[in-house]
Amino acid sequence: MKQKKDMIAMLLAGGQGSRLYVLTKEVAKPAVSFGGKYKIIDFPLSNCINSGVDTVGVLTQYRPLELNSHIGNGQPWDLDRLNGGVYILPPYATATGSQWYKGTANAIYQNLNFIDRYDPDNVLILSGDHIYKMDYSKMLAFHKEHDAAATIAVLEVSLEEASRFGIMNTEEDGTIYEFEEKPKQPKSTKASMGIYIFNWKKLRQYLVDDEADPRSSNDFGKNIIPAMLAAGEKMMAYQFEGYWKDVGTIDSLWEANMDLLNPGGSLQLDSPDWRIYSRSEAHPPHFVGENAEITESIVSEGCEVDGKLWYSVLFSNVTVETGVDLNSAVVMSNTVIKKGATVKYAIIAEDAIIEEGAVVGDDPCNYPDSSEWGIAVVGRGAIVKKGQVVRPKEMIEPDANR
Amino acid sequence: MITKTMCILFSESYSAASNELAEGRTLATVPFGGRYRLIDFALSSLVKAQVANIGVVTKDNYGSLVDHLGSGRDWDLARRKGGLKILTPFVKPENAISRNRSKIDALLSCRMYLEENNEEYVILADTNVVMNIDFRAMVEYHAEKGADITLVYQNINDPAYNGMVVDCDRNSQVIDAYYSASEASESKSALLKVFIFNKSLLLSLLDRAYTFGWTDFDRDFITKNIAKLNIFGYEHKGYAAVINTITDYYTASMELIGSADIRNELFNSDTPLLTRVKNSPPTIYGFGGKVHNSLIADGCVIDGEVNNCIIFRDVEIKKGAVLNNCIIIQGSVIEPGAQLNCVIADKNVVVEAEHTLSGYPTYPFVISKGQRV
Repeated sequence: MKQKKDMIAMLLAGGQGSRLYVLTKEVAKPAVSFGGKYKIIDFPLSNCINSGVDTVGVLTQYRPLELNSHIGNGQPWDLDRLNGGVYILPPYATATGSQWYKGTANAIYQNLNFIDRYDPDNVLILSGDHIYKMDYSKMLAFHKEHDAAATIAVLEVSLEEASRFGIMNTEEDGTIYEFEEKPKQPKSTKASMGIYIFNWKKLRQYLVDDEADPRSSNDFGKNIIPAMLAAGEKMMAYQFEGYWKDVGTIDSLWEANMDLLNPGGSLQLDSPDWRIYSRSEAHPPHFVGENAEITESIVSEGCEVDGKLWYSVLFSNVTVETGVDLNSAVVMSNTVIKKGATVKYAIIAEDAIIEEGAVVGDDPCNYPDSSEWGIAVVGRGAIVKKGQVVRPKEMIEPDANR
Repeated sequence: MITKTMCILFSESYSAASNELAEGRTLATVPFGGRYRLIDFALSSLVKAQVANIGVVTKDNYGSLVDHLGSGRDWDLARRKGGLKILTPFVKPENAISRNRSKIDALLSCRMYLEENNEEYVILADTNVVMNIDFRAMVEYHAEKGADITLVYQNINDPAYNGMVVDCDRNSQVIDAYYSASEASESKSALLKVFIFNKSLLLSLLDRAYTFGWTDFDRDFITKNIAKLNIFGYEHKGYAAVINTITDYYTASMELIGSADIRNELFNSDTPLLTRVKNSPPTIYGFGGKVHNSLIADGCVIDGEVNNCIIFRDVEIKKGAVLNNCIIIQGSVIEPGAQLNCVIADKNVVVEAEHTLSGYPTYPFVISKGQRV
């Protein structure tokens, strides 16, 4: 038996993130790069260690290679521990057969034995899809104070947005009396952030019961939460204030990167008391050449910049040659942008080559009909040939022209 | 893979030259090149050659060294077998006075470490040499020549050089080694203070050094033995800069910004230059940022003008500040409107608003750690 834990975390990282299209063709959504040197999963992992949660199970399923090698033994997050630490938990075969994770609840169900090893009082369920900084220990204190069976983190959204989220209808003290998934006429603006703390004994029973129900889709939002509410369990909404973004679409991923350029913005990566950790290699400092002009941009280690950057985010080891014009562009690691190329309002994934004079994306001002405009995307390892034009909204497949 | 070679690195150069940046730390941990410490160059070259049994000899004030190296994990040297070992001063009553004198004393104090490892060869290297050297080729050369000692030299054209010079015959055997006092203008073969010794020989030389009270490594171990031993010279044809004085430091730093070839050789050749990994966010540029010809590390906020500079981690250059030919080390803040030329600011320095400070390329103005100007 391992040493008993107050709370351990289970991080759901098996999703494909199909609305990120070419960006998640080869990697799972939590392994998508963000903000110059991070991956999306660095945020929940760093939040865990910063909140004192030192045992994390990461449930993987879709394209796990990148995620597995990124997490490794958990050392960058101080999660290489004797008692606890980070564990990658893929679906597995048993004597009676094998199955994929059928849903979020089933993924946890299949790992009951992992959680039982630590005999935790509470279990924190997280997803690897969101960019935010949050102190889970405060949420746990709230959960304990109300002696709740489940506590769900919620964020105030506007009434118009509310119909896109799972909405919690609560009493004044935060007690949830109703949960509505994407309501047409929302009664409240408290949107679920997909962050739950459960009393483990209770959750364990609900998971076992849910698994026994063949009609269930084995999902927290659709099955477990409604079942607990119906049974009259005490469920609390925990109000979160601060930056939180679901980066599940191309537009929201691009916007979240741009949010980092806002000097007074609510997402600050440099606060020393809440660092976001990541696995990083030792690259040299970036070099800025004679002809470079860099304004309102983020540049990471290993880059060589001799072109013009305006509101752009460069990940590590990106080369921007002379005469290149980057505007509102997100360019991921190891990509080379050759002489005279123009990249505007675009996301370029890792290891791509934008050849001389190529044009990727365009400024929305040039598109009076906004339905014709969108972020242009170049997939991992793709080559955009000399003089090629990639129009707004267009997506170039990974390894195109290789 | 080299299996028969271990290494001793010296965290001090035991030379008389003083260097303001090495006052509160070891010479090995003087920050260099935007995010590195001098010792990273030797360590990275060793790791690349798969030498995985490395002892670092310390003298005084080695807190920064312990802090930087940690378990050696960032160089892949946290190993069950071998790996990185920090050799702290070992003081017995009989060596209490002599322990800090010289490289020979340092080697005597880590004799046990040399004996308990059964490698055949020992690399002895100073850590204040900025270079990317191929130790694997050097060990092969040493074995091929059947050498007792192999030393590394570099051909230079510096009339002011007054360190040790070696002369080799056609077969690369060393026939003379002496301190160059004359201001000869012709090319010289300058010693780079990197050696390979057969370990059994090194141990027997240490016995004699202890007996006779030798203190000068170059003179007593090399020059005295030229006739008796097979000592070979190995020319380092790439870039090398030995950092003793602050002028050496400044010159090498400016060469790094000035030449893409040097940067490529040191930073980007097949394996990366390894260093302690920290978690600063990437650097952010504001509206006022105008940067040319500079190396900038992560974690900076740049809103001023920066030309021909090296800016280390977590530095803030505020609006309207103008920096030319400067080296600003980790955590420093240059306030709005300050004007700096040929300035080296050590860790956590603050230069207040509208101040003008200037040094000269041959005599840079150094602001020591934590000072507020």
